Amino acid sequence: MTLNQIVKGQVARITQIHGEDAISIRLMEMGLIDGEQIQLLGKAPLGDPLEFAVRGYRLSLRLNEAKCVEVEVI
Amino acid sequence: MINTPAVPPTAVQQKKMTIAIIGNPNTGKSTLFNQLSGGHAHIGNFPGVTVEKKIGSVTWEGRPIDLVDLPGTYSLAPRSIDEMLAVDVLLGRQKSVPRPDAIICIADASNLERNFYLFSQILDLSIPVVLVLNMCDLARSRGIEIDAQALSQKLNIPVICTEAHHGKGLKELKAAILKIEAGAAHLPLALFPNAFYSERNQLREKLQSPQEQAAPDFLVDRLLLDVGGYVESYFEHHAKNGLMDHLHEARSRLKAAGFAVPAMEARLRYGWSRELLQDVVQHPSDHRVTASDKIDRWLTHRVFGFLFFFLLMFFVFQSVFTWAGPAMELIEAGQGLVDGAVESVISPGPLRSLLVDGVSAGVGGVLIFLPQIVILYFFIAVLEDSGYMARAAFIMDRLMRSLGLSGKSFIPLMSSFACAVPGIMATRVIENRHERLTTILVAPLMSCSARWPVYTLFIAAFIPNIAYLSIASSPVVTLQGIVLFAMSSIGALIAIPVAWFLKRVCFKGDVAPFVMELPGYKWPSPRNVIFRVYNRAKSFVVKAGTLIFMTSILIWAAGYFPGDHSEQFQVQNQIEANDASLASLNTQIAVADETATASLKELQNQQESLAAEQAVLNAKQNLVSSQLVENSFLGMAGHWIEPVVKPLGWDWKIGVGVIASFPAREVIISTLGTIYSLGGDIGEDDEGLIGSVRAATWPDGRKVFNIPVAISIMVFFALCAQCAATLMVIRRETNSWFWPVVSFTYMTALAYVGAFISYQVGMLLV
Repeated sequence: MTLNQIVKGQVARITQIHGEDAISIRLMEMGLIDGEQIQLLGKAPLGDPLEFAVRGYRLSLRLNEAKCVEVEVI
Repeated sequence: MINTPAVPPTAVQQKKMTIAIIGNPNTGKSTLFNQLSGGHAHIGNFPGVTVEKKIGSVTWEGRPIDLVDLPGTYSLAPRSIDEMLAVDVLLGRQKSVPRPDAIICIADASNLERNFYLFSQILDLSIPVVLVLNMCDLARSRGIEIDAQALSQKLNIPVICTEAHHGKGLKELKAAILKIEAGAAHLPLALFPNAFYSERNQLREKLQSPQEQAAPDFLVDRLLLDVGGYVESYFEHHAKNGLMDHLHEARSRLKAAGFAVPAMEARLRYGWSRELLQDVVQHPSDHRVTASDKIDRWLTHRVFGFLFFFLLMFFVFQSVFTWAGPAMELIEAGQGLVDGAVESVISPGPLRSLLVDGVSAGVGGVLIFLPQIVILYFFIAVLEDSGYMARAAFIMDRLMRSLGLSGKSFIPLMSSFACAVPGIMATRVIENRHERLTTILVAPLMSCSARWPVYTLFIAAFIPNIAYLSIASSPVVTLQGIVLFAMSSIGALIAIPVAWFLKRVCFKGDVAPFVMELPGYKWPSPRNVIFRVYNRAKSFVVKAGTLIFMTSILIWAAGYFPGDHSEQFQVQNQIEANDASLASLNTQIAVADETATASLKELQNQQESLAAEQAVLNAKQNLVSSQLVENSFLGMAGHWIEPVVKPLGWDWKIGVGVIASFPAREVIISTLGTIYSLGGDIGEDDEGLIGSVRAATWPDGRKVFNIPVAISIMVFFALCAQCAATLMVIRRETNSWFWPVVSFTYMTALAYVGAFISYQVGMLLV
């Protein structure tokens, strides 16, 4: 499953970042690397973008950016 | 360097050092820079990019130092020409700045793991680095304990804990910098496998040519690592044949060896960061809910989040209008006092006209923007410093995306409803160049407060006062109100297709990631807020102000020359002499003996005849002034463009008004006042102006103005770029004349077409 599919409060482990484009490179630069844990904290009022906790900080991702991140729920 | 003459050691000490400051966004980098430079920074632009160049020159213990503030970034992997700038400065490839002797890398103490990604790239540059852990107090309050000394030993570089907003730790930082010797080198961190470095060396040889200097290792690293990055596209256009093929082969070889780029870099650097920090930083468990998280659940809540956001925006907006109003009136009053003082000292003549109508009007035209800039910037600085700005972008992103923009464009565009000048200055929060340019280009379409006088005049003069809905006999929905609302929203509505067009057609293929950090909430630091407001206001007055001032003088000269003003001055002299005698008569009448009826009568008669004479003189003065304007270069230009503006329903006088209002839209009111022979000081609700505008006729006796003409003028002013300040700020923010020219051209074209349609359709209806 991908990161846009997890529910609020859920913690997931990143398994892969898809693609080699600007978005996936930026995601990796921000510390989204396979093996890393990520938690969905909440959503913007219109359901997009999403707020995550990763590596001890808070990160906002749009749904289509979260789609590039393959995860497994733990 | 065998031939270098021996230099006494003291002189070596005095050699100027260049120190670059770099760090992630939201680390307090600007605060640290302001504190270190004491607020005295030279602000300019780097050539060819939209990045602001901030250099603070200081002297510490007799040693001159230039501090260079680089834009906040998460990585040194450049994706655009603007991001390349930081790399160029650090590598000494930016001609306007010498190669830094040392780098201050500032990191957020609460979030070292992520901040160390950039830090590890900086360690690869072979330049001495001082690591600053900023906001140590905030980190401690979140339960994070850092052993800076152990970290410094592990890294073998100075590590300083600071609280930049309190000025804590700066002394230690300065001492650490002063210990660095100019020209000292530092071994690169070199985290990558040998396979990578041998590929890098081969690639560097490929790049080398006899006439060119060898590319620095760091740049060749970037070429190899950044798939689709700026360095790759640069070499694609500039390097010899075969290089790109070699690059792709090298990347496939690395991939086959299990070191696929670009994933390898992130994995290795984050791996290094985590391992390094393991024993140095103690932090609470990963999934702890912080106070900041609890606030976020409310402030980004489906209902309360929106509600709070809109209430806050309403408050900001309302404050800009209510607080700036009195300050702007004060500036106008001050300008009036100065004009009065000049008029009392200098008799009517070209010098006085230049000082009052040119210089004073020009300075006033600059200063009048200051209250709005200061107030708006105050709120923006508070919102940014507290961490709410990122949430505003978070909340508005979905809506703004339908325009092809992102949440970060919302605040600049909303600010532009007060005034496009601070709005455009606020676009600096948008990192993506194309998104920022799109926002800058559509911002002047928002209906700013300078358009209101134009709307007020023409609505009062031509739109019938019909109420459609009244509550307790006070009108609620009126035709005039509807027209005012329509005029205020037309620009924003037109901005939607314009933004869409710019993003989809002009800046195609550029998907800006909205990967954004949401920093923890904190109390804004007053010192920081004041600094930023002050810097913004200063940079506006100095940079844009001079140009606005010059434009005002030019327009004054065009309206003044080549006419012969001697008759005007003569009449003006008489008027002023009569004013003086009238005033003295009035005092005589006031103190006159009530019983001496005869002499009182005599005085009153004198007063009456003088007043009558004065009225004749005023009328003459107005006539002469309007003739002078008609025969000036401005008037000639008005006549010249009459065929162009005729399809809009305008006569040459409106044409003159439009040209004269190039420095600022509201100038059209006083210009129309002059042309319609009313003298200079005319306000938008002046009954005389409304009357003479209504009475104006074409040479064949038809009325010039009717409802379609009034709508046509209002639509023109709603969409045009008649504002020198806005254009100068666009010039300043984009560091190019190209974008203000584009803004002016496209908005004038839009305004013309809009006015044409309104007039032609309007004429079919009436």
